[in-house]
Amino acid sequence: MRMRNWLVGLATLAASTPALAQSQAETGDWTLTLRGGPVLYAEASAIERGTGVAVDALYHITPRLSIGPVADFIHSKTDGRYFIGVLNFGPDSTHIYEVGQTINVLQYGVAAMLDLMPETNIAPYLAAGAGGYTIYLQPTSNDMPKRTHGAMLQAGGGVRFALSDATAIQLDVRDLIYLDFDREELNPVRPAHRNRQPDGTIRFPGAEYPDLPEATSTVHNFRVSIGFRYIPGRN
Amino acid sequence: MPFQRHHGLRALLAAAFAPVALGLAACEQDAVTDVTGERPVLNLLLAPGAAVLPGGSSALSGTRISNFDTSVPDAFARATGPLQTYVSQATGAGTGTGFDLRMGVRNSSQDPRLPALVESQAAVGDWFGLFNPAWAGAGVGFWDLFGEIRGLKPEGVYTVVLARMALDVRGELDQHARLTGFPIEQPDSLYFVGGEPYTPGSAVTCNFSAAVGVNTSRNPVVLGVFETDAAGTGIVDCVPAATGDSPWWRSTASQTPPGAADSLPFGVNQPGATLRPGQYNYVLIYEGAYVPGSNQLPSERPVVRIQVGPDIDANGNVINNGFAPWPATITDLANFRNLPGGANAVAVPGAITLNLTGLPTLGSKQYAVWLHNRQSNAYALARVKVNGGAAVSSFDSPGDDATIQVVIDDESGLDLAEYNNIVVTMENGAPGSTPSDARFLFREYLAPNLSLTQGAFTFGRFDPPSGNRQYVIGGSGSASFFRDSMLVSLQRITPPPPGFHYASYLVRRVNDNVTASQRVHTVTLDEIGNATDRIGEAEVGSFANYGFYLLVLEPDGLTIRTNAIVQESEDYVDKFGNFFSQD
Repeated sequence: MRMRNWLVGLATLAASTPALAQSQAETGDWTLTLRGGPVLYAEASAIERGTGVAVDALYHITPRLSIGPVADFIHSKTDGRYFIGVLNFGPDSTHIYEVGQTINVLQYGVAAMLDLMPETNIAPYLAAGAGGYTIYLQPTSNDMPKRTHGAMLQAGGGVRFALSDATAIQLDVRDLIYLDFDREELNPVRPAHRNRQPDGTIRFPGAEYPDLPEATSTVHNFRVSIGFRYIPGRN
Repeated sequence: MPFQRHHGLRALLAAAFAPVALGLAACEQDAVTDVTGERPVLNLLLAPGAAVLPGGSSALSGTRISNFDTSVPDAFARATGPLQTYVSQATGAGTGTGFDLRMGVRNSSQDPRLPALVESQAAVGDWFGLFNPAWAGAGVGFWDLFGEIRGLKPEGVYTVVLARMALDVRGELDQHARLTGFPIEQPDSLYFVGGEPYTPGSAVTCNFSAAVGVNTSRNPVVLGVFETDAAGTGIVDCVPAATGDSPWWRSTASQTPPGAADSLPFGVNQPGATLRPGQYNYVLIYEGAYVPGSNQLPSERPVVRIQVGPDIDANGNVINNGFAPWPATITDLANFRNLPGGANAVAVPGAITLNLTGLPTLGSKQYAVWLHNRQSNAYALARVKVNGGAAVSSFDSPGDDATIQVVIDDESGLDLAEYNNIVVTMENGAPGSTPSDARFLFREYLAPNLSLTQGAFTFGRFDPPSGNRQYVIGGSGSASFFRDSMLVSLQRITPPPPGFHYASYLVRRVNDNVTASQRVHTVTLDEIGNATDRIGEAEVGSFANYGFYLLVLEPDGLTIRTNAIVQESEDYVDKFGNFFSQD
């Protein structure tokens, strides 16, 4: 309900701005977009909300359709509730830890964008792409540099607000679909010290969070960003 | 693929408009959280406890021979033929030749047949025999019944009688039962057959001073009286004289009779023979003197009965295996397989005494003892005598610290030769026709090679088709206190025997005395013997009220703390006293 109200507000804002400039790209134009915002990882990914920046470089095949490379950098941390470590201190006492770690994620690939109303000042668009992701884990948490990667799809859309012929601000929402995702790759706890043993037994069931979702190999993550687009060669 | 749940729309919108820089900074937090805080997980080790498991031992007594084929002629090889007992023997008056009767002297405790003997301690002295006329020297046909009897009443008078008696076999032939060791349930009865009672017309003293004639019409024949001395010992020295139609050999020309069956005083002690009138098979000694000329015995019940010839039926035919003398003991167990009737015979115990330990009190259940046949896998309920009581079909235990004596004997209602194993079970109430699955204690008493075995019982699973399995305490365990729970991890614990399950208890002990006890859970193992027992403090009030975690064997359907402690923890209150404050 609140999202709907928010969109209504945006429309009202656009409608009440009578002299907005157009920022329509023509065929053969390149557009550069710098975006930033939060990434809301799927709960099953065991990755907490991160913050990322992204760069898009799109070539317009037509005024409506553009394609080009995209890249994202996201900084986040893993949720220690998924990674319970058990360490013995002498024979008599044990400490239980929830072990998270900071991570950096690099996403890369090719995206295509379809402008639905390129001639208007408030231009909605759709976007989709494919590529990959690489998660860089903390060397200090893993005793060594470690990373994991997989394929990624993305799909989404947004609304662009033209500021001038060359510039625009755009609000973008994407579904970042991680394929081949293995949550256990994010577990920094050595197998011998894990509460959930490789054979499935759990040393301290009370330390586990029973409501956490099961791991999946495909996770849907949402990124919301505000971006600034620039069309080189225009004033 | 459905979308995963996200962290909330409110957070989404707030984050969407937050400055990127602030977002980046917010992610830098301590990523490791010690959820155990100031109180770590307290660890304990478990070890096998001082378990008192159900057990016991068996002891066999009164060994017998079963499945002996008594239909075989002279199955026990006891026939002596016409002259096997006719030997030279020393007497109080020199050495003579005659029938040696010493092995046949029986008192009331040795011969239960009817008419019942008057109770005495009578026993044969140094010699007792029927000596031939040649040695007697009294004339043709004059024999000498000469011997010594002890254990009679001091300075008493006794009458000596020769008798031809038939045997009324009631049930199993008593000699069979005696020779195989089984109890005589219904004594056979002896009675005079043929002839008329005869007493001399005058008082005859058996001191080799007067003869009494024997012939085919006299039965029984009083030979005279003798007196005992102050010690109860008497000398019998009677002179039976073969007269008239008596078949007795009566020559004085030779020490050795011709061996003809019809010329022996006692007949021929072998299968197929016949005891003719005028031949006698018993020497009877009655208390008191006969009345001369009365043709009546002093009483109906003799004091001593000496079987000198074979037992016969009403027609005088020898009863197979009813040979003289009446058996005093069972057949030699070491040799019975070499006897004609022993091919399929087995030695079996007359009684089996079980000393059972570690049996918990069942209350609503009962213990039962079964005998099991190895080949047919059949069971039969045994009535047993518990701690000297009457035979019962089931019983309970006063506690697993008690020893219970259970006896399986002739009142069990079973033939021990038909079975091989003793099995103790737990039954839900009165035992039925088959035992329950709780066959937890067992012992073999008759091995496949037909040898008898005794000794320790095995606690475990008795299930011959699937394989018996001894219960052996195994496995390990550890325990931890985490937050408000005690988490016990058990590994590779031996599965409980049938009829039992595992249960956990928390107890407080002062020395060896349990001052507080709380049953917690029934513990079920997985297929490899592992289990986790999680105990919430709310279940037991306070962990501080106890100190030990116990894993014990409990009878199925009951919740009683037994002494079958399979795993036992350290005293956690003693070990981690700082973390526990006792209520």
